[in-house]
Amino acid sequence: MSTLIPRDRDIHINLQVGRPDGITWVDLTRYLKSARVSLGDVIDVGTGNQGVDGVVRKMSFTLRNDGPNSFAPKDQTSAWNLVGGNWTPLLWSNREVILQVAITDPGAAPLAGDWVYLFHGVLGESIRCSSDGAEVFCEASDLARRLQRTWIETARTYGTEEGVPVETVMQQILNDNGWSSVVLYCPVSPGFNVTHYIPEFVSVWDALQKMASQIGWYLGYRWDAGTSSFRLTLMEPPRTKDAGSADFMLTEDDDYYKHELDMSDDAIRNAITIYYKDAAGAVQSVTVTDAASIAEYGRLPMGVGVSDTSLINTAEEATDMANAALADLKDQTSTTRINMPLLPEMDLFAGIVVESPRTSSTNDFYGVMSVEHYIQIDDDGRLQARTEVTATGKVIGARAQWLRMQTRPGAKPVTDDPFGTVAPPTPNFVLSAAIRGLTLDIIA
Amino acid sequence: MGTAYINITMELPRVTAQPIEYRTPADREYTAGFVLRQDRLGNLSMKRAWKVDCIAVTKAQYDAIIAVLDAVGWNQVPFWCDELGGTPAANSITAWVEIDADERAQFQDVAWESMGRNLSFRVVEQ
Repeated sequence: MSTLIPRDRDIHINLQVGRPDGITWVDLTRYLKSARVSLGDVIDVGTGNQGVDGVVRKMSFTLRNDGPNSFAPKDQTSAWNLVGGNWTPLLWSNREVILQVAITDPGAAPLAGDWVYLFHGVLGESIRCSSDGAEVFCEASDLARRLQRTWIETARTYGTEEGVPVETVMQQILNDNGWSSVVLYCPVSPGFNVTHYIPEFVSVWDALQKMASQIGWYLGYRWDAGTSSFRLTLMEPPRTKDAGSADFMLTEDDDYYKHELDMSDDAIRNAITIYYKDAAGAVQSVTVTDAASIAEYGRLPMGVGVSDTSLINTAEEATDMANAALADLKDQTSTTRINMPLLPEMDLFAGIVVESPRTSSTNDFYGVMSVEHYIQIDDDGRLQARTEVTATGKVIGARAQWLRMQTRPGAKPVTDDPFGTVAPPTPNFVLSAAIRGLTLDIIA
Repeated sequence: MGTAYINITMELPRVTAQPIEYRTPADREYTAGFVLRQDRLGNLSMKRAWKVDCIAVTKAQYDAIIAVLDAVGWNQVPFWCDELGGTPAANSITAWVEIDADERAQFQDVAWESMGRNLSFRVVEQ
């Protein structure tokens, strides 16, 4: 477990934007006014139909313009936008951007090994120039953006009767859509096999996320110390992490400025039923419950219909999914927000123990579900370098994602039969052709 | 009293006061346990900020100063004051120069100046 954050530190920043040649990087650190890096949010996983964009890291940053040499992309005379005399905007769609920080003792210069990546991604979501020409504001997403913007144009069938490991299918989808350069990192196989999957009319990212969500695993770009790079990682959220295996111990003296606690029982579900189609196409179901949660909060059931379990065709797979959902939903959520000095190593799924005598008489464990790092240097030279953590009483893989799958009338039927589980009414009329029209006989 | 230049050649006339501030780019705040801690921006050194007061600035001088600042879009310009040593050409630093106060003043210069100014500049080292 990490020790305290020193009371006096130097923070070094490095902001670089890549030229389109892929090898030239431009240092913009001295023009940086603010940067904000959001590391996903597994409690409210995403937007859109697939509901998965939330696992993509985002960075927004503001640059102060360099006098008459503006960063505005359409300034065709600015030195920043000229390469070999040709207009080549520095800030432009698909340009890579990197933000690193290094933390040292006061007065010490950072060594190569001190630099930590806060972000590596691509520009494009927004590049906005202030009307007074003083600043340029940019939004970037991590490398998942390239997969989000790659549409699957050719429908292919994945899986076999015997089943193909889900991580293999994910790599096949990447390869088939021009992203063989992205190698999926899956340290431990989920042991889930795909028998039949035809992704169509979706992005590569959404196709991959659909598979990850059905096994309750996380898929996103995570920092890998071994290769010193962000890697597309398929992993099981470390749901069993606890105080004994926590990554950080935070004390009120040195490690945080604010700590707020909020408790809610809104999201509790303790009886999970998964509906799925077996190999013969018949709808089956599996139910798992948590007796302790039911005793404490009452029975709070939830069903997941076949539209969200299309890759599942065995009771074992359905049980795994049900247990993942149950683990994430069976407890009351105690959500904490912690504002603390910049801690670049803080990441999703980190376990933290917080000593906070003002909110709890015990040292409490939390699992991190979202992290935001921000650095701001205002016009008067004042600095704010902070990490803001949202965490809950244990490590969870998802919450809103599960709740969005819950069956409900009109939106999430149990089966994909257009009539749901209700048999269609028996017609009580006879329609027959007649001369110059139709005859409708009502049967009493 | 003092001597100050912007953009190497534009003298700020009749400088009467020049207080200086030192700014450490640092995040200094009390933790929840009420212990003061600090993170300092390591890439940056201490920054200086001057308040430069000029009196009895003629209309022609005023227009020339505004023209210099307009020309750079009120962005950074070279700034030099005598306490930096050397010459404006060799020892200017880059700074943002803003006009904090602009007061019309009438005074006797070579001739009667009916559209003169008293100016207060805020100069912040980049």
